[in-house]
Amino acid sequence: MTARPRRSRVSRRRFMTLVAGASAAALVAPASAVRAAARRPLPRKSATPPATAAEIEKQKKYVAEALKVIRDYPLPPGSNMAFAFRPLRPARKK
Amino acid sequence: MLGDDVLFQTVSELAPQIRARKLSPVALTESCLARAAKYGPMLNAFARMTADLAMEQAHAAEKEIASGRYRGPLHGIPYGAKDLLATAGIGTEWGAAPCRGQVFDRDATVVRKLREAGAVLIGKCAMVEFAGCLGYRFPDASSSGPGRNPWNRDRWTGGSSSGSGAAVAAGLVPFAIGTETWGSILCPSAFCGITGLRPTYGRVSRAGGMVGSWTFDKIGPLARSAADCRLILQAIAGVDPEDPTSANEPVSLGSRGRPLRQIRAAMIPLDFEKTKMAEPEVKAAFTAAVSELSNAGLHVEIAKLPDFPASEMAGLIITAEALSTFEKFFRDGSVAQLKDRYAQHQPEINRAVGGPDLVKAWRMRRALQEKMAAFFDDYDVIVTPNFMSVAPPIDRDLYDTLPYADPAGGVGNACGLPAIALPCGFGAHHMPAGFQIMAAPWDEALLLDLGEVYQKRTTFHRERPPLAA
Repeated sequence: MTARPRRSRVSRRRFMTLVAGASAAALVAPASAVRAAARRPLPRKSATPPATAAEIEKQKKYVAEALKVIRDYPLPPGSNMAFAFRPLRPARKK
Repeated sequence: MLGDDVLFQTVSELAPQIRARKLSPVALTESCLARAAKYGPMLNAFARMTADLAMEQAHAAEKEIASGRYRGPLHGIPYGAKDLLATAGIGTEWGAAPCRGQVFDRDATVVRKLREAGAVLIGKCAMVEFAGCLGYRFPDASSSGPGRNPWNRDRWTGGSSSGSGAAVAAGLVPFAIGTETWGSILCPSAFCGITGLRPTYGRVSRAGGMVGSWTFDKIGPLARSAADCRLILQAIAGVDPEDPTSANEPVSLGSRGRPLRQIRAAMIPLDFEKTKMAEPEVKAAFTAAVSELSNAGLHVEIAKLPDFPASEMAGLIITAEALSTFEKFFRDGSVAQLKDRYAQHQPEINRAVGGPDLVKAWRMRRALQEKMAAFFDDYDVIVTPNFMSVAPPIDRDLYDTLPYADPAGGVGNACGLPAIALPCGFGAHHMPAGFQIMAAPWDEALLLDLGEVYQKRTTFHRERPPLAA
């Protein structure tokens, strides 16, 4: 799914903290201090309430069940999709 | 001010009076606005009123009709539009807090077509945030508050076209426009005791409407009768260069005139006895409705829908499309402003879904289309309950109050099939019960014919809720 954030080794938040920390620290501190700043632990993300976390897990389970049904459904190789791609003709100026 | 006897009339009844200049569009609009001001807030029916525009359009209609230019049956008729249809210069907030203050500079095609037909827009109808496409657990998942049912304000209207359902049922407007991705026209129609039509996918242009799910969204009327739905659909249907998914199908919605004996109906029974929260009163109302259609001459056979995991497939595609279309709100974090507390977690909840899964779902969708095409070789229509219970209490978790599956909804929306929701009596707590008839693509006219036959033999669509200020 295109909306799903791509997972990278460094999270966006961690990356932004590193960039911001490095830029600011570089102005006033030696490289060792910058490295130390980068190593500092990030403030902990506010914890999801247990009830919400439990519900998220429940919904993940529903998704997993639906995925199993979809993955197990037999279709012949190369069966058609419900839509057909069509090349887009340019709107030529007259 | 006009009384209830006028304000609860159908479009089909109001139009000839307007045409004959026995009923003033200005008086009708003023009365609708006054009634909406009185009852709208207690029902959370409108996101905003458009009184100035309405009076301007009503005066224009009156003047035009007086000069002999009558545009057709919607001329001078007030209506409400779901707040996901763009209206030039007027807020369109999609029922969602992150969209507060959102204004477009053009009308949606549907709004434009209704303006050209002479209809009078009196307000933007409240709705579930983002039309429920990111899921919701409670009826209050809307920036307008929970949709309150005119039959009992402590019960839900249904969603996501909650305001459209409430406004029609309460006599605030003769009709409203709603949308359906999965259930959003049929559900409020059932719970509010009104008639709703979900058109074939592509029948009505969605240009200028919020996209919840590109391949599932449909726009259609909620009204007081099947005959009214026909008039409204006729006005809004048709191909539109601004919506590449709108279909270039002939818009011939007049009566098919087929004798009922020649129409083969597949009655899909649901297991009320073994289904949690299903209500025997709703089953009885459905059984009586089928008998009524049988007595009218419809050939009804008990049948089964193809054995197919339509709901899983449809749910996966809708979720994937919704996560993509609302990407901006996840990226900027404003999704956290939504009332539903789980919406912001949807990317995490659906993380296991991969690209091949979505493509598989698309292939399965085609396979289901083929099965349904074969099904409609044997039958013309499907008759089945709409919901198995009446409108639930407003403060309850919808996962608890509506826990049962919706096989017809899954198949119908996945295949883009048209369906009509018809009121068929009352269930527990004297709340409306309804049923649905579904047809092959582009066969709305047949649905409307059957709806008209049924409503000529019954009076459920004439019932009025006991509203008190």
